[in-house]
Amino acid sequence: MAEVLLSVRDLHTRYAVGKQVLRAVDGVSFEVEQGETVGLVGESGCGKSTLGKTILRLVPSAEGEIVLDGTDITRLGDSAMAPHRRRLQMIFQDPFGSLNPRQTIRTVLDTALKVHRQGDRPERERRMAEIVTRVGLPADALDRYPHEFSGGQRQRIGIARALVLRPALIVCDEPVSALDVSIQAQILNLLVDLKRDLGLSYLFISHDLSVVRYFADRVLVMYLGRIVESASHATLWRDPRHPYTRALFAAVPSADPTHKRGAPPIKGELTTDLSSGCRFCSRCPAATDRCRSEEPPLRSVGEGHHAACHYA
Amino acid sequence: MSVEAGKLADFGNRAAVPRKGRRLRAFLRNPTFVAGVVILSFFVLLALFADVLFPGDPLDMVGPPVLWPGESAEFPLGTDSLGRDVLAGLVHGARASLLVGLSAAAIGLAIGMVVGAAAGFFGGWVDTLLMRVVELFQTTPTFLLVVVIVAIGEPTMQTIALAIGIASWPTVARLVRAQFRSLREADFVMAARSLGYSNLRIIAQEILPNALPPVIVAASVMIANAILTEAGLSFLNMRDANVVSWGGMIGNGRDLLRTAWFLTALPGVAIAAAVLSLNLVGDGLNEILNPRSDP
Amino acid sequence: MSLLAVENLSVAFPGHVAVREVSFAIEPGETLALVGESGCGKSVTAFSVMRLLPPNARIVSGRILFEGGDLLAASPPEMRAIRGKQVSLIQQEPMTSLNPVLSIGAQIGEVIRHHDKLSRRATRARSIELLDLVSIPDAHRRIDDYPHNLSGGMRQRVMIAMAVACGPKLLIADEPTTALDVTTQAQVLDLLDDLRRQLSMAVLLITHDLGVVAQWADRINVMYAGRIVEQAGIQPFFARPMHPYSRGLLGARVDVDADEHYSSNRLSEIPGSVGSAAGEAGCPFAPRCPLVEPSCRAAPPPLLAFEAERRVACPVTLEAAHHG
Repeated sequence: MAEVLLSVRDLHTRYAVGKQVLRAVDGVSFEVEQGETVGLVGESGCGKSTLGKTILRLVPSAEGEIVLDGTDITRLGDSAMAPHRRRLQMIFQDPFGSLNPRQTIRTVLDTALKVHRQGDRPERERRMAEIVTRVGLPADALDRYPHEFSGGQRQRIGIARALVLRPALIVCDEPVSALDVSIQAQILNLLVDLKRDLGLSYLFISHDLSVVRYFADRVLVMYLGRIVESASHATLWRDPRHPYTRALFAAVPSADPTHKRGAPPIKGELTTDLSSGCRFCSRCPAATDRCRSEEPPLRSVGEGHHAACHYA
Repeated sequence: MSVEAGKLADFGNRAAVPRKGRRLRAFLRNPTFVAGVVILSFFVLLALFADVLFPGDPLDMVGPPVLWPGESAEFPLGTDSLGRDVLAGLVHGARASLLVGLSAAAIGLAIGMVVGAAAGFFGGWVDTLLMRVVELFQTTPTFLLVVVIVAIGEPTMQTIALAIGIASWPTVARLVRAQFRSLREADFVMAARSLGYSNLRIIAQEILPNALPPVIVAASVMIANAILTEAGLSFLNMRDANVVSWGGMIGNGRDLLRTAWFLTALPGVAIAAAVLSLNLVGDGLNEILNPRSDP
Repeated sequence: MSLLAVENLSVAFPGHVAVREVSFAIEPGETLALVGESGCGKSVTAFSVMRLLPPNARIVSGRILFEGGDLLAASPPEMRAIRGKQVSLIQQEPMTSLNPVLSIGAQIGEVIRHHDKLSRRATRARSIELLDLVSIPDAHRRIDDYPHNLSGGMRQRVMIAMAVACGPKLLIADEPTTALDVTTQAQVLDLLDDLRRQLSMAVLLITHDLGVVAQWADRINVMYAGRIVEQAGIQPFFARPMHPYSRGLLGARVDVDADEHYSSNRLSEIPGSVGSAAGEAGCPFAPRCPLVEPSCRAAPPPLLAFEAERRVACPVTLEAAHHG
């Protein structure tokens, strides 16, 4: 039984948009075990990115707990958070916006080490050189500026930044979505190698089902702020129970022209109408009156498999 | 290992991308910027070497009054109604005008950057409060505000510079606030926060260096405006009587406008040239510092 | 005669050549996919057909024959008559492609009235018809909505409505679904396919997503660093991709149907990046190619035929295929 690294309990994040309150994360609970990759998949507006940022305490949570290494970090102040920040880091989506254009790579990595008082100068130099080589960049990358690198290389720099403090868990927010397919493969392979070599755990957030299928051990499917299905990757692909999960799978085009898909069993588009009942009922092909009035809880439908549907 | 091959092949990409040295060359290739810098350097040199070129007090009466330029070899640009050397006055005046311009701009930038950064970064009530203060200053006509401040204090160069600085910080504040508001949401700022950096460090090291380009451009315009404002004040006799300035010379020449118009025109040309050079430098900087998307 | 025939097109920007000696043809009613990663020149090729390149672009050589007439020799008024009426364009980002201060009815109407002088009432009726055609519910009410009232998928449908308003013969779709959710993507691409059949329209589909190509295209052109490296029909291509870059691309891609997991498979990579092609005298893919030979670096390989309908710019592969 592996140790639980991160435990999220009934987390809520809300934004005020004018007079309305947007419930971006609306009661999410899950765990990430040591050495595990948990994939968080969903389309735009489902709250997966917000969930990632809330866990990192970049966005304030409204309710719920975030427990890291057994400590509740939900409401810790800045200085109390410092040691936990070393354990929990993030990789961002946009390789162009995630690096300060006016800092050399050395400045980026060294500042992190200095602020967290990780060794004297020779020690820091050694760690920086080591991490840069580990992510597949040449040693002289340290003295260059971000604009001198390609998109894939910048993403490697972002990974180096996330790794330099030796975290245990990395939240990857769409880390390969902005990259070309051939570069995606390089970065995914790198992430797999790093996980194995450094004993990392990942919370891998993506809208790309194919990538999540390849990369995750366990998958959480999100829709409008809630988890609607969770299972191990093999179970989820073999036996998706929630209608939204099925619709998602049906919609992804396969590179096999003989395998033509029918139209996805889903109607209309995302609305944020959370009045009553199941939040998917307006688009669900199998919605009944019960669905419209009663919100289905996330319940067990098999070994390690949960779905939030009355009929799953 | 494929990662090794990646390292080597990737570096073919470098050739197409500018390195630090090339940025300097980009500066020098821009004709607007170069022209502005040349003219501005001329004035700066005059200001620095005023005492060497024209030792003594330019306010001394050294020759016959109202000599026209070219009439006497000793006074190439003539003399004014009190027999003071116009050329000496212009050269010393360069020092005064540039000093006032630079200090006023420095004061305005200092106040404006602090206020703008705080308002843009923190948002919320801090932003609302500071913006009301900015609006308070901006609704008052700049020149009148300066006149009032100088009238309250003594019309010395320091007071004048201070007054102009106080009147001009709101523009900088708005500019800096806008930059901070947008940069605050950038991914690299979020990365800095996720690394646990303090707000002060984020403001000073992460955001501020990226917020500077439009501020630098605005600064050059501020210096130009300060020179013009000081000239306007001097023209209205709100000037430091112990210091020669171009505006003061224009003011003194006002009475002889019809007969000895060169007394007004020559300092006027100097002001125009200095202001033009600063605007050219500002335009050039704007072209160079603003990120352009390469094909 | 092909509907569109691009012959030896080369387009240059200051500092680099974006499109090199590109030739391909589109037949009436078919969907041709132009596939490649960033920097391959596919978008520049599409914009060249529409003559909508930025001012610093230079068309160095080539012809673009639309129904026999060279578009590159057309005058501006001639091009304006062609754009929107004979050849239309839809782009990736519906947020910025639509004018935020005009209602969608006004924008569709603008296209109609520019080309087919109809009365206001007839234009409005036609606009509502078009919105129905692209499955916008409640068309007679939504016609007065503004872009910000619509979701991303609906805005893209409005773009499609505007593009097909005057019954063009060719629709150029530049990454039309990249910015959309996958469920919306499937709906929009199905819509495009239906419209294509209904209106007998050809589609030049520009994308980096091989899944989209497999499901919706008839033929494929693969581009790399400004050149076409492989041309084929869809089924033969996916059954047997030939050019090393095509194979690399398919290998690097994770297919949603394949049962691959990191614990047992490693993704095959194409090492390096496309920047390595700059300054390369021979085949642009040579620095990254697993099959590279010294002869590859001498001159860029031409597209040579292999079986019906298939052309590959790789003599090494073709040699192996003929012998194997």
